[in-house]
Amino acid sequence: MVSLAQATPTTGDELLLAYATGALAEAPALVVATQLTLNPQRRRQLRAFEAVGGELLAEIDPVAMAAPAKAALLARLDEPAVDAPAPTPPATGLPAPLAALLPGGLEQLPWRRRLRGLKDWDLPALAGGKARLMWVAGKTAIPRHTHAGMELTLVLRGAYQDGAQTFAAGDLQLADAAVDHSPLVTALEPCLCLVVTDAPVRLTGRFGRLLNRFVRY
Amino acid sequence: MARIAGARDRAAFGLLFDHFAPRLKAFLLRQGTTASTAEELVQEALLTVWRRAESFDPAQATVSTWIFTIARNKRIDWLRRERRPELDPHDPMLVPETTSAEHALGASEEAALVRQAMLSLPVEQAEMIRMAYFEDKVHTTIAAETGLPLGTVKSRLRLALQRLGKLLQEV
Repeated sequence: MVSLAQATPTTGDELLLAYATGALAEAPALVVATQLTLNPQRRRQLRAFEAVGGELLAEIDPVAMAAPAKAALLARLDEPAVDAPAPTPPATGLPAPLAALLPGGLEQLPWRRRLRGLKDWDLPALAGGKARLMWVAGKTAIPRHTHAGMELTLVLRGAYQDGAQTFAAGDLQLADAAVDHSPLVTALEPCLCLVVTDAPVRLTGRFGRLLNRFVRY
Repeated sequence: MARIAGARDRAAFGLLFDHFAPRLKAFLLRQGTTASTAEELVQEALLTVWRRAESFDPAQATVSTWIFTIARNKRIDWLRRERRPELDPHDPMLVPETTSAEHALGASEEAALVRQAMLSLPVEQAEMIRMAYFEDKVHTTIAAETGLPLGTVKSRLRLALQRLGKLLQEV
């Protein structure tokens, strides 16, 4: 089995890097967070990217805080934490970052039937891309297509084949306008995927970017 | 860190503040945050460090890496009012490691390897990585600002990531 990480490491790496630095928008971040749940190798890689951030923090030249900052913080230590605990996602058998966005179990979703053996459901609107769940029956081919923008496909269950490559649970495929393909579910079991389209790596730092223009390092 | 988590030691927390607050502030300033916002985010991040000290796992990350991730999340919360989808380490759906490789190396050994890898990167590749962390920049922005062709920026970042990735195979 060839996972995407082996096939085209750069793009998947860049997505993960953007997740690690905090630059990734909500929709692609959902794909990455969901993949991390399913893919321990990716988790190791994330730990390393975060360690790079830790090293950059450790070696940076410090800038003094305003004088009252320390006393102000020490005075706040006894404040009760106001962070509301995240609500428990419905029991969907899906990774938590994704389950948190579903109204209920997979069976209750208002699926749209697209073609024989193919149905999908749009997730609530997210920043930075359009996300949907796609269910493909076993022994079914998806009609040949290409993409206007970037398409991220994460396999949640089952597997599909695209050319010589097989994508199984936890594998991520990135496709853009240059990719013209007809993925195929070869096994009897259906394949469930999370698909995000038009989800470029977007900056979070709008305000910061404006300022960056005036600051050179 | 252990004294902060176990004994709720304020003096130890004070020392942690002295060390990390000015570094976090510098990091946030380099990311383009204004000084007053940087101060505020540092406060929020370190307050979270105090509150969640017992969840710090030295096998997973160094203190510096852990604080980096907390500050990163505080900054995302501040920049966007959206909820960032995040890996839940306690998710029952978490697919475990197949080998015992996950913690083959401690976080500090891993940090040393990462440091080594960063130092061994050619200057121009290391610069791409730094820009990615400090400035949240995508290729096109980096290309515009450095005056390098987009293809060069892409290949440098790709090479840098491959090199770091190769190192991780050993982790």
